[in-house]
Amino acid sequence: MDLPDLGTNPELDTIMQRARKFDIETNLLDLAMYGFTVVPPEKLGSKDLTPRLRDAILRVYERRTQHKIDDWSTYDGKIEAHQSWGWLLEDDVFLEAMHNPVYQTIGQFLTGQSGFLAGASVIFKTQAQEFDLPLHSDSHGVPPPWPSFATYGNLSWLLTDYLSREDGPTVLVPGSQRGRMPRGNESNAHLEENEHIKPIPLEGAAGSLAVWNGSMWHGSVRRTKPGMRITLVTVWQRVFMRPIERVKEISPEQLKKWPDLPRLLGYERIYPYQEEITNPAQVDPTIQAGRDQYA
Amino acid sequence: MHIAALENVPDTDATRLEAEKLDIEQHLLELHTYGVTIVPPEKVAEPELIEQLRSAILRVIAERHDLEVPDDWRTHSEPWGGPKAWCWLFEDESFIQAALNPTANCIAKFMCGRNVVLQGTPAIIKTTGTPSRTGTKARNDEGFMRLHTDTHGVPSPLPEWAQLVNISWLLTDYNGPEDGPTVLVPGSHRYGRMPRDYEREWWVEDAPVQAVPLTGKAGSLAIWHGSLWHGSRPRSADGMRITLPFIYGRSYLQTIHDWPTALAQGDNAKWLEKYPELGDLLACWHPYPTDRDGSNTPQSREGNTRMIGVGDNVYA
Repeated sequence: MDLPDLGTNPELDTIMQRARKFDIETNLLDLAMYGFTVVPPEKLGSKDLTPRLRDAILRVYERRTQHKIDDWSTYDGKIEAHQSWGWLLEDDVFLEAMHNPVYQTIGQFLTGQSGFLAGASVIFKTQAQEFDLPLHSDSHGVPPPWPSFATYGNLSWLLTDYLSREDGPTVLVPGSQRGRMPRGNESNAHLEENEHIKPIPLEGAAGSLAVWNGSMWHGSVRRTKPGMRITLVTVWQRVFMRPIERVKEISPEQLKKWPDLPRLLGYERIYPYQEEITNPAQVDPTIQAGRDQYA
Repeated sequence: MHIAALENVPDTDATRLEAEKLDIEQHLLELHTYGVTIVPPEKVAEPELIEQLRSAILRVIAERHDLEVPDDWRTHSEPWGGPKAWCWLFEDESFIQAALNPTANCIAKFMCGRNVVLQGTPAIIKTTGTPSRTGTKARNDEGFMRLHTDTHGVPSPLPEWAQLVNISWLLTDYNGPEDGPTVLVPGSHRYGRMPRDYEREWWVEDAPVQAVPLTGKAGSLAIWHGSLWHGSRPRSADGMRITLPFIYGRSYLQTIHDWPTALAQGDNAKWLEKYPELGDLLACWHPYPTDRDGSNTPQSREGNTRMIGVGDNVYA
């Protein structure tokens, strides 16, 4: 009895068939049980994608700040204030990464086939930043008890190694996606001893995709070794969510190369309404998304 | 990153590592997404256990109803048996072995937490002409069983996590509709409610809900979430369909069978010595039901702590 081939849940079936094809079923089970997973580089295809993403990020950073970093692997200085969101349309390599089939399958597993890529930011970290990010969830504004499905999904491309705490990694509290935001001192459980909350550092080689349910408690610790941590963070949201980023114009060249971009970026959702409904074809899929968490 | 090996979330990790060892992770994912899975015989038990279960069911049903065991279940095609279809655990050692089977137990723990409790055990024998019944009024002489969930008495909205899980040992082949299989609505555990009356007759023309027949070889485990909509269809093939469902549930639920009483009968308590893990599975540790002066279990303090701790997470 091959469940994904029975056609009983068309949207879920597609996701499960792709998960089998890409050998990421155990990653989806990680997400179901622990709320997060790390997909290793060998399951993500193109080996040169990681250096190209890194180079593009440093180019855009330089353009935004006039600050040139010659060697990310040894740079140990200050990171200039920069616009941290709004990266997707800045370079084709970002859009190439967003079209990785493993990446999209996981985004849709978390937020449904109608889920959309709501924004992308970049995190740079060096020893110069003496800052530990408190534990928090990304499900901003969603009161407890949280639903069993994800409202947000964080899909982060690790563009440098996260091999130990010295790398300044994200820390996560496995299983914390079920419930509520951290309260009070719970947010410091990765910095001071806590009897009940035991965050763990995220581990993955450069080129991995780290994914977590947006409700998970996570934070980060400071970097304590030379070189930069570079992470391309992308956030998926369910179709009913207020998007993180404003709509930006997709160039004709980009649209020609990736005709699905308006859908992928959530531009074709039914809201906001104008005087007349502008996307009537999206009404039924949106209603279906309310019937089935994988739709 | 091998998350389970970090031993950060002990209950979750233990279940995941067992699943990895048993090579059933794909089945856990199917239970999470579809609410149903079929584990093939090679991942469950030796064929001898399946034969023993089948023989024991036929022997005990014959004894309970003063019948002769049919010469061959493969060809016996007349309705056979009777209403005494429950309470199997202590009838034959093979039932205890099945209840404690590592694959079945790992899945029970994935669905209902590591403190899962065996709720009860019916046995189903179906031939051509066997009527169906769901509830006291819903007899169907054609043999179609209406859609229902097994989470009886729990009002909606039902949680997405399972309160019950049905782990059915298929003791004969379910090759197709002619074998009279269970029918299921994959994904319906996420509806969060029972089917309504107008949704239950899945077999009628233009039925609003479509159900698919369960297929699996004899020796398979068919497993579904306690909130999954399911029913069954009549058998048209020769021979018997023989099925042994084990219902497992969370420890706060009233069990289907009264295990303390059953254990006190005859020499049933001996099985606790031979299979110490059986005490856990029958919730001998649980402080409820208690009497006026306190718990009726000697380990009440430990039991209280454990009972409260079980509510900490869905895998506890």
